[in-house]
Amino acid sequence: MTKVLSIASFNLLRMFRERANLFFVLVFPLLIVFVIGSQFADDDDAPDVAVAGTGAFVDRSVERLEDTGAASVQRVDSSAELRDLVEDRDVVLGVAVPDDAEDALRGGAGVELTVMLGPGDGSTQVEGVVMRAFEAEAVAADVTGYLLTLTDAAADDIGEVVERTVAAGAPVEINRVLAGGADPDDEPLGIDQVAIGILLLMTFLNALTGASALIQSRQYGVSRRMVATPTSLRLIVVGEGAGRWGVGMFQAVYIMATTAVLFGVSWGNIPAAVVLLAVFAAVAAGAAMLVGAVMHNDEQAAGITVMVGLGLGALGGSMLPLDLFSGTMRTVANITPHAWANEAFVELSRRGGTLVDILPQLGVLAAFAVVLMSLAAWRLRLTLTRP
Amino acid sequence: MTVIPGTRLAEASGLHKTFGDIHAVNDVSLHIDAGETYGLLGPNGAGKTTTISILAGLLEADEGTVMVAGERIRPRSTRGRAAIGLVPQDLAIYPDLTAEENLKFFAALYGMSRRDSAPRIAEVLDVIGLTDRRKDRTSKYSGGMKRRLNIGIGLLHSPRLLILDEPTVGVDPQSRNAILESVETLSGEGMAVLYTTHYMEEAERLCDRIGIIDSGRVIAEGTRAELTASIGEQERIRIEVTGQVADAASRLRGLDGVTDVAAEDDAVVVLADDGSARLSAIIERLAGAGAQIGSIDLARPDLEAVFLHLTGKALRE
Ligand SMILES: Nc1ncnc2c1ncn2[C@@H]1O[C@H](COP(=O)(O)OP(=O)(O)OP(=O)(O)O)[C@@H](O)[C@H]1O
Ligand SMILES: [Mg+2]
Repeated sequence: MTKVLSIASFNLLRMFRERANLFFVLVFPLLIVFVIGSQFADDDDAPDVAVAGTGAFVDRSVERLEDTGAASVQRVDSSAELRDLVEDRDVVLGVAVPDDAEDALRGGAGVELTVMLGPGDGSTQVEGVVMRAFEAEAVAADVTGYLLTLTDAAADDIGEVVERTVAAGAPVEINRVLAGGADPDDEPLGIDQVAIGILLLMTFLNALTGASALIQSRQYGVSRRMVATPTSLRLIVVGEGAGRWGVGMFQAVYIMATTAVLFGVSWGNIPAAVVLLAVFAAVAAGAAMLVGAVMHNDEQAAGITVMVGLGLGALGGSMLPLDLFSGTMRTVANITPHAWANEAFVELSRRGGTLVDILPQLGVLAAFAVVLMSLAAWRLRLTLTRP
Repeated sequence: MTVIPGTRLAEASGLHKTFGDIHAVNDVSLHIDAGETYGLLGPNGAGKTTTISILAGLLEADEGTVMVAGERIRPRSTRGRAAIGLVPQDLAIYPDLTAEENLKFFAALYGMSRRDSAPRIAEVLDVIGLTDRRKDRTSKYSGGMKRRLNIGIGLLHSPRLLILDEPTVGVDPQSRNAILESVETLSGEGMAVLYTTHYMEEAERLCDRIGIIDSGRVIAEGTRAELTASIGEQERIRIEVTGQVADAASRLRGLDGVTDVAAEDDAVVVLADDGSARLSAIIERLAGAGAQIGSIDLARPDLEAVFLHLTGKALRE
């Protein structure tokens, strides 16, 4: 065990001797946090809508619209300004309301709204919501105007009654369900899912860089000399892998903590998530050692690691969620450690699972790690003691 | 280290190793006792490194066994490794670590505790003369300094058998002398040493017994005196020539009293009875062949003469 730690610590010492690596280790996670954050922001950012016009009707409609959270409203003074904003794509859609709208409605006359649609899907997506807000507010004024023609009561009194009636009306509650029984709030493309995918992809790619360290040791003749000491090849492989594993874990935990605090990403049961990540990173370290034992030079290894890292990530649901995979693809995905880790993370973050619930996935991942490390040790023996 | 001089420390029996068509090691057997320095002398490609790799457990022999300090040495097991210190022919150090860090790293791999290794590392740094530079990265060292560190790592855990594979190649004469001296000291302390070289002088100076190896076979073995006695009183004459060396050499064959002739890059080596008396005839022959003669070197029977006699080749060709 002390030998493993020694090998790992000298591996890290060598890694940090190179300034670029230090930069990478510290800055890379920030970059990932930023990427996750931007996904989150996109998810949350309501499209901008501009409204021109004044008066009580406009005020109420805008308030109602903002309450829906479906759009954020910008008030402007003229239809000309409105047109500019839409044309410059600063807003997806603009609504021009005549200034006498309130009076016209109360007077029983109709009101004509002009909706200016910007290019792109954004405008049509939000159009319905915007129109419903204005229509809903028009009802009260409209009803008041109609009642005025039937009674002699004062306009203000009628207005007040109508408004109270509208406010007291039982709201319609909409219950959304998905065919198949899943919870529609568990969007497959939700922030948690995206964050999990990115984290797994990054941890794996990162640990794979350990391959080039092993190749260097081999090129310096040091690996061969290590084999001449009373140290088994297994210990050598585990030690060389452990250094990068440590770095990967440090970065992953850092990313988990930061995104949880800043963007409210839910990683589920934290201790279980850390254990899961540790086992997953061990798989990556094993893969790195295997690549490092097989490849002849750095460039070769770098190419392979990027390909393997991204390929397994894509296949294992790190880019497109597994839920969206077809049946066969879903089965094929199970050859990747990413798919198992992904599944376990989903268990933790969506279904509130604990360590016990992800034991099967942990078992599979541990088997991956052991097999890869053993293969690496076997290959390394061939490489180092072969002619 | 308590070692009783004369106890058998290492024994290789019937080693064979082939690489494709090349029989790199062909029935090599040798043994080394504690306190003894054994030299493996042979030209490039003779099979020295291959033999050593098998002895150190880095290479699986096709046939034969190796025992060191009572343990069978095999690539698949770490048994017996602690008794061996290996100084590989090619540098095996981390260029991005300092000498001290390299030593610490290997101390850990040899299972030395921090407490034991610190004074030992200081000692080794002193022996290899790198104490002042111990905190510099080895990428900034001269070739000779790197070689010295390469040797230091092999000494670190005070092995009972030290294996050195051509440790002085590319080292300046001063460092070379320091290396040879430290090997002599260690041997005096009871360490068994296996030393390969293609420098005859090193083998003559250091080694108690010498095995002459060529094309994978140990073709002669014994003390220096035993080996040179086998060629009688012949003298070795080395004549620097420019021009057609091979042609010049062939003209000397069959000359009266000349038993062996070999060509080096820029010299002809001749083995002759009563060499000084034959010298004028030899020079005449060479001049007749149109060769430009440089320096002439006449030597008493030595290992190079033995090698020439046994193989018909010069040791450095
Ligand atoms: N890995 C290998 N693959 C193929 N042939 C090899 C290999 N290693 C050594 N050989 C061959 O085996 C023979 C012995 O090589 P070896 O390295 O043992 O010689 P050596 O005596 O150490 O030479 P040198 O003085 O040049 O170091 C040579 O013919 C060499 O080409
Ligand atoms: Mg050699």
